[in-house]
Amino acid sequence: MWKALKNIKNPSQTWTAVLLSVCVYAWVLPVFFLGFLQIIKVAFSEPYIQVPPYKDILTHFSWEAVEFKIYLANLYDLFNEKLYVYAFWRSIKIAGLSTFIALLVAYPMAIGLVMMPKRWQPSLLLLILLPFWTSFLLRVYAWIGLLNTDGIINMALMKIGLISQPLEMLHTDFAVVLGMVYCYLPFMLLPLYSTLQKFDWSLIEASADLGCRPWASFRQVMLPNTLSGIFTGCFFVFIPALGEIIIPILLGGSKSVLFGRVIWEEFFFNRDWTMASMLSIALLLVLMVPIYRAQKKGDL
Amino acid sequence: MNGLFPRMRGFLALGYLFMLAPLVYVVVYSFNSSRFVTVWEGFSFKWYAQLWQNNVLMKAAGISLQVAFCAATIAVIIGTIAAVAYTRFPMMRGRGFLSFISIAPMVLPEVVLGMAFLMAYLVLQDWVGLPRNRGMITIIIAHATIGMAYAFIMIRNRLRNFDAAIIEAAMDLGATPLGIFFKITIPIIAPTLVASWLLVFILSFDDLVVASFVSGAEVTTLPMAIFSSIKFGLTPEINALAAVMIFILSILLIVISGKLTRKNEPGLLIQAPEEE
Amino acid sequence: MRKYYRKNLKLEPWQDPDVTPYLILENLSKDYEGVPILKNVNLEIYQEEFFCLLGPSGCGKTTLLRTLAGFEEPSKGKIYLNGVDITRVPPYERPVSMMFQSYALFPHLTVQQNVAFGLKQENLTSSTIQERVEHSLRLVEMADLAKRKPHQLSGGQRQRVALARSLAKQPQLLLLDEPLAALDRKLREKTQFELVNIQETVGGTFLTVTHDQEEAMTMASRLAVMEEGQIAQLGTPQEIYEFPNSRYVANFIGTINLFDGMVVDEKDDHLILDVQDFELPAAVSPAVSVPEGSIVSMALRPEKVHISKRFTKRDYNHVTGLVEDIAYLGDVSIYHVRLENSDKTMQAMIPNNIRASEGKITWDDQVFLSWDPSNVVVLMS
Repeated sequence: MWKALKNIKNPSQTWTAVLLSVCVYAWVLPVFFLGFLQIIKVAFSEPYIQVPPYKDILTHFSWEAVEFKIYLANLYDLFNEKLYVYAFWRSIKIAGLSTFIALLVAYPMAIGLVMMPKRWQPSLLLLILLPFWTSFLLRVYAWIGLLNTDGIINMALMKIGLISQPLEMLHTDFAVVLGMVYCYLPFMLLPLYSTLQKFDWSLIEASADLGCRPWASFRQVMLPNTLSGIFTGCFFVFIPALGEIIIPILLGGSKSVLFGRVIWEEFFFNRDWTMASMLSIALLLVLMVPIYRAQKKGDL
Repeated sequence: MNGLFPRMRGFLALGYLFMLAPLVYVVVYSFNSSRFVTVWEGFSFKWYAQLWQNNVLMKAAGISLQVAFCAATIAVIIGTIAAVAYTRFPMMRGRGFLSFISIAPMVLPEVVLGMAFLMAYLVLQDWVGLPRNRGMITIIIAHATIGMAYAFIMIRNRLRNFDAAIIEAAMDLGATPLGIFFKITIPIIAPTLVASWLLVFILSFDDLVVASFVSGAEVTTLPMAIFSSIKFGLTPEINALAAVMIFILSILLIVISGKLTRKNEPGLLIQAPEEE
Repeated sequence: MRKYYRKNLKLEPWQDPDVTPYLILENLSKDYEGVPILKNVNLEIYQEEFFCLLGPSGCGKTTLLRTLAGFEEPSKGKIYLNGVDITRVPPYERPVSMMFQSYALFPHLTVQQNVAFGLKQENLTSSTIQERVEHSLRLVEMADLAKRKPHQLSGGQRQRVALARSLAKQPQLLLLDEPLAALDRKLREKTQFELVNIQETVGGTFLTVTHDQEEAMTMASRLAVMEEGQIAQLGTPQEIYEFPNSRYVANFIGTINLFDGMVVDEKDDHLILDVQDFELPAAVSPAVSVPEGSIVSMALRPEKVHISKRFTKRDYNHVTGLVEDIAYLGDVSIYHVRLENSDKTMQAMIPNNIRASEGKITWDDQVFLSWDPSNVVVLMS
């Protein structure tokens, strides 16, 4: 839409552009990017029982003498400490599984949603946003009450006689995946909905006309033409799920060691800022691939 | 097409049941007179009364409201500046980088963000002596930076769908660029500004992880207070708190969405197509 | 208005009592949220016909087509194809193929894959598939672009691919929903003939829907004019043009002069009408007898009107007027003549076969219009 204005060039416009950008940079660079540089620095510093709990890489003895020391033990630990490697793969598995289940749940819902009469759709979207905008903590909290051994679900199952002993659901991987699917479902649903809204339904009719049963129509026509929504949705579920802290702590119990939680605990409980920084860098590097792809695709 | 996918509405209903049932459960049990969260004893308002008298939670809520208010306001201002710079000057150099740093806070994991903010504060404190200590200000700055990413995306998408002919008409009628911005652009994108303000407000009000990193020892936000109370088990007071928040939010959503959806707002994640 | 007649009307199965219809619609009705879209449609279409449903938008023609394809379920009535009741058969089991107005080409597949799509569902061998894909693509002259994706094609090329995709299935009945609507005028005229030629080559039964009367007249062996969910008239293009059965059809197909008059007399095989707008009575020869005193419309095509600057004395079918407008269309000119004793105009069409002929009729000339009684159609409704 701004195309027509592209050709207008004059010095005052250039200055406006520079001024506006400088405002943004002046805010973001110091409070945000500086922090990342510092994380990298701390990751290669030696831990130190003091405040702050690390030794600076550069130590000034005087103006002439500067000691420069890089500490690489954390890098070694990252790949060799069992806990970190285990937590990393487990996080990938749980985040991947949650993303996949969220997709399985959200896709039929999104189809159902676009098939509803147009005038109802805004209200139905609102009903999706309601839990989405309700406090994350409280949403997770609600599931504690539902999944507990003396919780509603166990009570109900025992009342109808399906089980005699309460099921151990809380503090299991099941609870963690359930919590992630529940909390991040809207992130999957909304991109799918917006892709399906643009989907040309006459393609489905055409495929039916050419002999496809509904399932074949879905697989051969709908799925390949909604891949962009699927990727966007998976991206927005997988990224936060990988770094998730609250859900494993509240629903997963003490055994649920996920990567984000490990960083959290290294930082707050072990006060090992250097290791926490090293782990953060690892997490960022892993996330770079999907983030870069999403930005290229234009999702961001 | 309905005939070809007959059962999808059933899935939709089940999905809504899944999404809304936990909320319904929380609201219903907030009126339970029993101390045990899972046993229904009778209807009572007593947890609401206790919530009202719970100084820790109430004080935390006050802090969270102030933080969210300030963070949302700052985020929308900077987000607007970034979005205007991004859409208005397509030839600008470093446009990609501007977009990248504007969006980065949205896609990075909260743990990393929280740590980055804390580290930045420490370095700045070391260099220029500011921020003097951690507390509300540092939380506001962190939340505003993250919120800016969301505001940027929403406002940018709105500006992309903006009819350039209006701007041209205004120029043709002799309006100055600044005049155009305040008299035409701002009023037209006002609903988006309100929507993004609200989103940032809610994100800030809801944030636990980043705030835990940057809050310092004295200041406790509402999510931090809730977190420390539910880590040790269920309390019916939290049910009451959740019910109050759901109630306020529902009303807010219904009132605002009625105005926003009519104007075909591109919401978050429901993006307008790129027009280049 | 140009008319092209189909050359192969040697067989007219609808005239032959021994031939059974191929497609039968029986009392077909369709309501949508309480609003009737189709009202008791009865229609019989014969094998190898090129049948055309013609009507303005909203007349129910597309709904009828979608009902045949199986996308809509009729509220009432039955559809028989080749003697089999297919009313409740789902679209993917019907031996019917549809070409969509939007073409509905699969954007993620190449031209070749699009055409092969329907064949793959039938579990044919890959060599058969390839053969039939190539054959269909050659038929529509798209073999060269087989590797392209739909977004790399022009509108006309897409239309061809959509046609090839439907033809590859070798359907017993091919439904075409506004097949040419998205093409520009020149291409449309060219494609009309191509469609007819393809139909004659492959020999299937084609049923097309259009709002463009010229298209319908060009392509159809027979056509049905639809009005508000009902069939207003059914017949060959010629029958419908020459003998419309109602004011609606007469107005919808081509241009026509309509005047109301009262039957005052019957002479030989002529009716004498008293038309208020004319100074002389009008003589017409109706197909059916009409009682005296009834009010009817007389319909007269512009090209059947004779226009002259010279006065000839006649007893009937003669009016005087002033030339008000001339539409010069190149091959013909249409004169809008304001009648002397009325505020109505009559249109007369004259071929421009002599350039700037002497005694040329021009604006504000007084002219005399006359016509032959046999060229008037009497409309009762």
